[in-house]
Formats: sequence, structure tokens, C-alpha cells
Amino acid sequence: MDEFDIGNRKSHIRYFKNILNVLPQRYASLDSQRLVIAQFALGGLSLLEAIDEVKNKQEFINWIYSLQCPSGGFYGSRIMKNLPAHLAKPHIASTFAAVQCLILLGDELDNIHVPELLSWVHSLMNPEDGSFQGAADGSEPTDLRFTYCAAFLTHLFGADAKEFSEDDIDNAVSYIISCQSPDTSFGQVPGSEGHGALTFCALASLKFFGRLHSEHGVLSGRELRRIVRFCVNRQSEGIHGRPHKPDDTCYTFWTCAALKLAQPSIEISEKLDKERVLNFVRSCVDENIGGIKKLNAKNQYADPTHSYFALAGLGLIFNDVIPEYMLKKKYIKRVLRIRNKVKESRLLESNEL
Amino acid sequence: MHGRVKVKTSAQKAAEKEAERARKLAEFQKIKKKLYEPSENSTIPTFKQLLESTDSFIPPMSEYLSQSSTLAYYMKDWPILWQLRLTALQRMTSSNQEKTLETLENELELTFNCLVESPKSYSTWAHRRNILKLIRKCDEEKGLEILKTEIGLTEKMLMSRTEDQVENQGRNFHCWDHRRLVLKALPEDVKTEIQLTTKLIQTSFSNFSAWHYRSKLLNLEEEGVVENEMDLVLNAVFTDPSDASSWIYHRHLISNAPCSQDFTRILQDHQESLKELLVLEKEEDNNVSTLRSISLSLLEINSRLKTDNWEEKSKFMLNELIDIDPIRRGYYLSRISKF
Repeated sequence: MDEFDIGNRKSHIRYFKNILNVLPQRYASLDSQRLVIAQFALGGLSLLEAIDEVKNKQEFINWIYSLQCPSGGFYGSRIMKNLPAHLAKPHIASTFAAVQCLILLGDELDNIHVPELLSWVHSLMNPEDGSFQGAADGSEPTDLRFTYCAAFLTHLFGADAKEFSEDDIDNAVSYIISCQSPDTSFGQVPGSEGHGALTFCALASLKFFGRLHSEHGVLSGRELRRIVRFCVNRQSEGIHGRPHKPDDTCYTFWTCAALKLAQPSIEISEKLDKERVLNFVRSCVDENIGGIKKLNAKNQYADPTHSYFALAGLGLIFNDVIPEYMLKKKYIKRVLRIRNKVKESRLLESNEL
Repeated sequence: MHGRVKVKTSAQKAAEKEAERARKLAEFQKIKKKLYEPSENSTIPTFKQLLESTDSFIPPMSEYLSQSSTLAYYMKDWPILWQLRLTALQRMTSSNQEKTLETLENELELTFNCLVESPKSYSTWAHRRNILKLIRKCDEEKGLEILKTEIGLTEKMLMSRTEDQVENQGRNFHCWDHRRLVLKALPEDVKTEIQLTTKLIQTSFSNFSAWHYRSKLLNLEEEGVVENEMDLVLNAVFTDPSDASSWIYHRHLISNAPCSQDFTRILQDHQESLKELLVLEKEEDNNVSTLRSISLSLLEINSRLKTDNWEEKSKFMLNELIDIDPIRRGYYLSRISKF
């Protein structure tokens, strides 16, 4: 692994630890998605090799499991869980975040209600077009981000043909393709313009569904080369997500991850200028409170999203992060082991019945 | 940037913004308190009561909703809040309560004010669409009328002149996706949509979202389309060669237009014009993006026309690009190696 250093390591660690305790008032609107914020903070700490700064890991693990819905999935926060039944719905992004946090905290995922989770994920799929909702309340339209969360979860927990059939996969894949724009990158919903982050969601989902660079791959060589071109053209100094948009630190991950997935055999640093990206991220460090800003501007503060994704992006460019899992390489062995363990135990269960 | 007004913020403006934020916060705390704690003789249900209400109990919603509009304004990214309001409004609509339509229209205005402040709020856009559906349920004719107005509103929002506007409005995919979703409820009118993209592109070439939409609307197989588009885009790239958006559309056309003798002729014309432009631009400074765009289009034309020695010519251009645009050196090298 190559090393990268954006300076102020201790202040970034302090920043992420503070997030785990309390966020300033301006983040009140994120209250319903506390798990996602926790993922960014724990993820940030792991990228800084500082996850052991979290002294009360078991407390966190307990808190996360307390947000599990008995019929599958995780609520975004305690407030979401305690709403009346018709309003309280687990959310797929919170569930993704919960699983990520548990992995980072060293949990073995033994207490996840796997069959319930998988059938709940399946219930979020719209059979007409293969898209996924975020939650069963229809409060948000379906979009490709939720497909990514669903793909990650069904892959990790080994959904079998009963829970997620080949037809279901084909349906989900057809939705992904319907989000492709004429320049071959992917947008958020059918018709949207191509976007670095959604291109990542599309490619990572296809990878998890076994439809990328495989016998059943759905993207041609030409399309993949064009996606590479799209991603490569997204560097000015740092990276951005769409043509003619300003550089933004979070795209350090999204666009580069899309690039890596489109052409896994090549080092990202062979296609882009990694020093410039590094310098851009450095220029966006928040000297006052630690963390990383979206842009290099005076009236900007660091925020959890950009702090996490900037570091994840650098980790990816410097060869330490696996794009579709959004995790450092060292976690993958354990993730795969957990995956096998879940598969085996479910096979045993079904043999016993 | 070329020909666009840049609005700068001064330190004083920043201080004013901070003071305004503090005032809003204080007001928010006051309203929140009011909503959670019932006051004497109040007919307005508290949040708690609303949460506990069932289908058989429909409190007098209109008062409540106008009271909590300030709250909604400050917490517009909290989907639950929008959902509570939606549940109340759905009940009003189903039970044919008095003043329902008026209340729904007020709600629409509320979301508009929220969007002005926060044009990228997922839940606000979704709530607005839910209200549009309810209005239609309440009064079909009025509902359709309002949908047409809605389309007009999205157009206003997408018209961008300043750099700030292009960033927050013209490229706002929420607004674009909203327009496309609302259009689904109306009879198809591709012509108007194409006209919109023409209008937007002529106002600001760097509206890539408009170019993108255009690329989805047009059928390149249709008679006359390719000629027209190649003309349009050549004009655009010559008017402002530093703008990457029109070049991207140019390359889209070059690679996707169907083969024909006419198209070959057009490509040859473009090739000549671009070669001349490249010579001129090479004499300028600080125009890496322009040189890159011209070269990439020429490369695309080359690989389409496949005239004598096209591979050598392409390799030559790619080598030049390595000098012009060293950031993407690795990418150009890998393209050279493919020959």
C-alpha cells in the first residue's frame, strides 16, 4: 500500500470522534439518518488507522443492534424507530450503514436477522421496473443509490434463489441499464444526466449481481472504455462528478471508484494525476476543526460526508480500498469469511428443516 | 468564466448571513416549543396528538399546517415532517374538508419557498410531487392546469445566466428529474422539450444538462436531425471553444450518428474547420481545456472517417495531448498502445 498524508491526522481523528458524540445544530436535519453519520465517522477513523480510538465499541454495537427492526432492516435512529407504526420504517441506506459500522467495529454480524432482512430488501423492489425504494413508506422516489445498497446487502448475506431469483436480478439490472445516459455513464433515475457517484452505484451493483466483467456482463468493452473516458475527464485539479462542475472532495471516491470498477486491471494513478488530487484534498482540510470540506472556500466547514469520502477516495487511489465494498483491503478477508459463514449456516438450517 | 457574471460575497455579507441564521434558529426554537406543548384553549393539535391520531380522528388541520409551516421551512430535510403534513393533507382530501384546495395550494407555495432556500432537498421535491397528485385528486381540471404551470416553473428555474445560477439551477438534476416526472402525467410533447433545450443552450452553452436532455430527445436516425445538430454544435464550439459541454455533445454526435455519404461530408467539413481552429488556439495561452476539446473531437472524427494513415495521425495527436494535458498522460498512453 502506498502512503498518503494530508496532514493534521490528529485533528481529523478528533473530528471524527467528536461526530460520534454530538453534531452541531446545523446538522439537525440529519437526525433521521444517524447510522449513516456513524458510518462516515467510523469509516473515517478506520481510514486513518484509528478505529481503536473508539474505546466503547461494544456500546456502539449494542446501539446499532437496538435499531434493528424485527421484520428486517435498520431504522435510521432511535427517533425513527419510536414513531407510530405507520410512520416508522427501516431504511435501506441506514441498513447499509449499520452493516458497515458493525464490520468496522469488529462485530461478526451474528445478530442480524438475515432471512427477515433479505425478504425486506426484496419487498422494496418495484417489480415493474426493478428499482428499489429507500423505505416502505414511499416518501422518496426510487433511485439507483438504493439499488447499490440492495446489491451490497443481497450479496453479503447470500440471498438465495428463493429470496432473490435470477428474474429479480435481471429486473434490477434492467433498471440499472435504464439509468444509463447516452454518453454511457449513469444517472440517478432514467433520463438523468450521467454522474460520477451514480456511475459508481451502477457498476458496483452490477459487480455484486455478477453482471460486470463476467460471462453475463451487460456492458460492452466499448461502453466500459467510454465510462473510463468519462471518469478520466472528471479531473481538473481534484475530481468532480459531472462535466463542467467544480471539483468536490467527495468525488475523489465516487468517480475514482467508478473508474476502478470500469477497468480493474489498471491503477487509478496511471490514468489520473494523483499528486494533484492529493493537493486538492489537502487544500480542503479544515484547519479549525479538522475534517475535510467540500471545496476550498473560506465560508465552508468540514462535514462528515466529505471528510469520509475524501479519505476513502485517497485510500482507493493509493491502493488500499476496495471500491464496491467501500472498505479497506484488510476488512475484505473478514467480510468474505462472514459471507461464507452466513451461507453455510443457512444451508445447514434449510437442510435441517 | 467566459461572459458570465460572477457574484462575490464580502465579509460583511457573511456576517449578515450569520446574524440571519441566529435569528432563524431562535425563531425555530420558539415554534418548536409551541408545537410540542399545548397552550390553553388551543384547537391546534400538538405534534404528539398528530402522531397519535388515527383515521377516525381528523383534527382541524388547516390551522395546524399554517402554524407549522415555519417549522417545515427550517426542517425541510427531515422527511418525517413532510410525511406528517402529507398524512394530514391526504386525510383532508379524502374527507372532502372545506378549504382543502386552498390548503393544498398553500402547501405548494411553502415547498416553493423551501426550494428557493434549499434547491437540492430530495424530500422537498418529493413532497411537492405528492401535493400535485393530491390537488389533482381534489380537482382534476385544476390539477392538470397546475401541472402545466409546474412545467413553466421548472423552466424558469432552469434558465441560468450567472455562474451561480448554472450551478444551483441549470445543472440541478432534482429540477430536471422533477420536470421529467411531472411531464409523465401530461400528453407527450417532445417538440416543446427540444425547444426548451435550444433556449437553454442559447442562453448558456455550458448548460450540460440541457445538452444531455437534448441527446435523449432527438432521434439521430430521423431525416435532417444530424445535419441540424452538427450545425448547431459547430456554431456553439466556435462561439465559445473554452466550454467543454458543447464539445461533449459534438463527440456524442460524431460517434453515434448513422453512417451516410452526407455524414461523411459533414465530418470532413468539421475536420477542416477544427484543424484551423486548433492552429489558431495553439497561439493562445491558458487554454488547455480548449486545445484538449478540439483534439478529442478531431480524434473522434479520425476514427470515424478512417482515411489514409488515420492511425498515425491519431497517435500523433495523442502524443501532443500528453504535452498539452499532462494530468491525463496515463490515459493517452493507454490509448496509443491500443493502436
